[in-house]
Amino acid sequence: MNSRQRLLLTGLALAAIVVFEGVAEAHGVSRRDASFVESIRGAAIGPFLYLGAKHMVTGYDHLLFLVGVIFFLYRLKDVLLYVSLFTIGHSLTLLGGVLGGIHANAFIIDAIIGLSVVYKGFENINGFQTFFGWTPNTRMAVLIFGLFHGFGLATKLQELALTKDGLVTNIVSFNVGVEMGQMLALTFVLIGLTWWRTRPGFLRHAFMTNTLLMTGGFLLVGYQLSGYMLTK
Amino acid sequence: MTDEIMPDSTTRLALAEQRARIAVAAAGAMLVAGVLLMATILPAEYGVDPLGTGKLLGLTSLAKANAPAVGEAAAAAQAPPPAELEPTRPGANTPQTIALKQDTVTFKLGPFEGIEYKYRMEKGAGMVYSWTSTGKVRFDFHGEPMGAPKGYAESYEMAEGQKAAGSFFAPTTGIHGWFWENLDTNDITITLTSTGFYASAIEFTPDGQKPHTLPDR
Repeated sequence: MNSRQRLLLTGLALAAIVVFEGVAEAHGVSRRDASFVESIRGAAIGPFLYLGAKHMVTGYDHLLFLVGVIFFLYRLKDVLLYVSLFTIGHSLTLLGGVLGGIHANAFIIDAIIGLSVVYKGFENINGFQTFFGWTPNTRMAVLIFGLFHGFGLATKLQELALTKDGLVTNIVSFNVGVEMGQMLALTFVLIGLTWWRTRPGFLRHAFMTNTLLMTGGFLLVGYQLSGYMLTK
Repeated sequence: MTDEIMPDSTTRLALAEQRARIAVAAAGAMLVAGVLLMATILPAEYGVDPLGTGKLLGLTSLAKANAPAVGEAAAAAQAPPPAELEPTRPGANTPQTIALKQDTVTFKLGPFEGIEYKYRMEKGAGMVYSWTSTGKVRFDFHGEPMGAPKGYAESYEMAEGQKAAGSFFAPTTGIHGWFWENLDTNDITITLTSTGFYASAIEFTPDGQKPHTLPDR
């Protein structure tokens, strides 16, 4: 383990401490969905599938990260590999977080998710290599940020006061719904990207697009951190 | 001219030039995000207006709908946490110190619209209530204890129907009331009448919160 990796691990450990000292904050689930879920007793596969998929398809933070991840992946094999890593990461923490009753602070988690968007945009414009002569292992980064995205999903699910009855079935349904939503969203993103790559403007605009991705990421970080500080 | 953005390409531009380009991009991204955050998001979402743009663009009025929630959360953070949420068991008589109030309100709801109406009550304060609706609604009679995490609610009764009535003793200090959702495909009217020891009422709509001041009985 070299010094850079040690630094990265220390940073992640610190981030984890900051995250878990926080209390759970509620936001993001509409009152209607919440009151419906609260009225559920027992397993309800369909509704949780739907809620998971809805959260992913309407979750612009997850989508921005995925756009960044597959931006320069030309081969379907690579797309599948990276998306699988992301899926393993977020499923672990989604299931573990809810079942283990780990309440992470939603603002901090969402800020880290914003940071993951910044990271990917910066990597896509070759920033790490140019500035530090070193690029973080992308597979590792996608897996680790996947873990944080999973905690984000877990906090959303925990806002819905779940009953013990049928808990595991409901969480797994939510998780499967998330994957279905992800596939759906990815399909559209891939179709769009594939078409765009055939256009002469793609490479010329790639730098600008990834800079915009970074802007979006910074915006999410600022939005969530100010929420953390102002509503505490 | 296009190769330098490819992840694996070696430099065609001088390294210094490439660095400058990326630095400008990263700094620009941060700057634009920072300006957008301060000019629009802070005023609109949190009612904080460091540049005065919120007032200029009318965004702070948008935040006012959210601001009470933020203020409440802040107040809740300062208030001591609710000790135990066990229900009170009032005796045959529970003396009250605040004035008795009476309230009659009607709400018109379009198909599948929802509304929330809650009374601010001290722990142990009582009220009697009755509401009727001209169409079928789903309702959730619930309370949000002061000091509880944002979004936390205790449900007292959740069902579908066209009317309900009862007597209620607030198990916690906080806001207690109903969420109604019109399940009908027609417009409906809900009429609520209550008498009790509450201080005020708040109406929650998708457009924001509307406080109701209530006359003493």
